Amino acid sequence: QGGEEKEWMLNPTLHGREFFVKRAHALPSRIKAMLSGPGQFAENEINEVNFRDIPSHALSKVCRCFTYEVRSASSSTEIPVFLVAAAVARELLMAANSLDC
Amino acid sequence: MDVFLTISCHKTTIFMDAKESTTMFELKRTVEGILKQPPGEQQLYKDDQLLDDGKTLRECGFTSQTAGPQAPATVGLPFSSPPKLPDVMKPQDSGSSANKQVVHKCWQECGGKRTLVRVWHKCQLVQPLWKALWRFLKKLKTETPNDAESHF
Repeated sequence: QGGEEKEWMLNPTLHGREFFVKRAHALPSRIKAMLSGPGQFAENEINEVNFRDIPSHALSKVCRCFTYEVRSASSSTEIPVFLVAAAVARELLMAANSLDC
Repeated sequence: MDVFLTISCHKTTIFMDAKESTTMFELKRTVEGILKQPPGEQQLYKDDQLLDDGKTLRECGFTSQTAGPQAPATVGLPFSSPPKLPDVMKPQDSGSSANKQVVHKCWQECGGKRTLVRVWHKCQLVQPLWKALWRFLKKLKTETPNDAESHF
């Protein structure tokens, strides 16, 4: 409903920062559930998923993870390890738990 | 080969991937679809170097080796807004607040020039107020105790 599926998805954070990622890269189950159904969620209507409880620097890392996961899944060769700084590891783990990924 | 980029514009970040053969103009077209900013108004930078529209990502130094998914390369997109028009260059119309002369008027219904004496003494609108006050004072004087009159 509302026309064709949009390619890009918007993730606003509490501090006004915005992140655009491809919908195809947003594989985590919580986002996927928001965007697919069953039932119509507001996020699917406006193509925007709010993560007010995730800091912007952690969400930035999460968005990079999305792309990395897609790339690693589709790559037949080994790709470099995704490094996470210790300072952001805790918040990243919390975000991962929140996103169920 | 795929190149992974983060395009940063003020508080907005776009995570995307593209081919090494993608030109900067094509990249701007993608950004246009997201941020609704025409390519002509975009300036893409790698560090401090302005990137030419005709060059490919590879030619600009973005390769699958240097811009992988684990560490995307950053492309800068300065946030720009149109400069404010100076007041002297604004259209001279009657509705422009910059051209309105401030007219100090007396009480709105009076329409005369606003001065302290006129507002509180000479204006016709305040005459009833002073007349009422004068009547009150006279009445107050006639109702004073006899002791007050004996002083005169």
